[in-house]
Amino acid sequence: MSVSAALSAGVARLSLGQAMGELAWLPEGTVDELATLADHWAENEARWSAYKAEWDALGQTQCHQQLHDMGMELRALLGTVAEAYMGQMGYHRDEGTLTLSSGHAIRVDPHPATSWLLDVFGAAAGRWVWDHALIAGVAVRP
Amino acid sequence: MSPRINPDDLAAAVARLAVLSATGALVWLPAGVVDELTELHQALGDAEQWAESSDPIERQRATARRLHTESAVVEALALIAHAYQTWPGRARRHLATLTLPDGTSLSVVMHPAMTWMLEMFGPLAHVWLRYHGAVSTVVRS
Repeated sequence: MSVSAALSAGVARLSLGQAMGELAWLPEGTVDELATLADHWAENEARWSAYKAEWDALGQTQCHQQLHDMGMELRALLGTVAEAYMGQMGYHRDEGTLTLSSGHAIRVDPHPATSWLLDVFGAAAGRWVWDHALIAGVAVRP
Repeated sequence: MSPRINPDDLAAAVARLAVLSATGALVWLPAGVVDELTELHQALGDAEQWAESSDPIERQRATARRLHTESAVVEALALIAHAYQTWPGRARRHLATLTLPDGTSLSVVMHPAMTWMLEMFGPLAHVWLRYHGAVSTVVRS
């Protein structure tokens, strides 16, 4: 699933939750901002495909830059949603583990809203997850 | 909040890099980066000394110096990791599994230099890992 599709699906889930009165704690306007971003993201993906078909390197570079900017905006919006979630559900960071293919194990402290945001936004929450999976320590090979 | 850098970890890393450089094993290392890390170690030591001062202005200087120095260390480590990655034959990305506290398992694509950075820098690598470690995060493995 593309990021824009995952984002649109997330917006749809939040809208449904709001309609059912379950997400009253979401900051006002956040879902609309996410919906606008999802539209822009889909447009960017379509433009990218067109530029790629036309071998238009400049167009692709512009798309890349826009994608970077939208990525920053998405991370900020997800951050707002995550903070609101935490305000509602309480703050607790529990220990997680990052296991590399080399066998190294690293302790991480993911944000309390991580699982919930993954449920709502799927792949679109991917980068946010890393940004908020604080590296708590590095262990040697087990 | 960024993790603190232990000056002893930095000193150990500089020593390892210097020894390996002398053997010719790190020809790809950017010129001057070991000297830069040595200077940053000195700067961290200065900051630690100032932090013990009874003068509040001096202690503020210590905090500013430490933050600035730690940021420079992260940049130097990123430079080294990038040099490692761009050396021919090393562009392979590593997969890792991120396990959340509730048992959710995620696949994360890590920087190609990940394992080498951990083995070379030990605990010091965690400051780099946090900012540059993940190339992308994939949901639900």
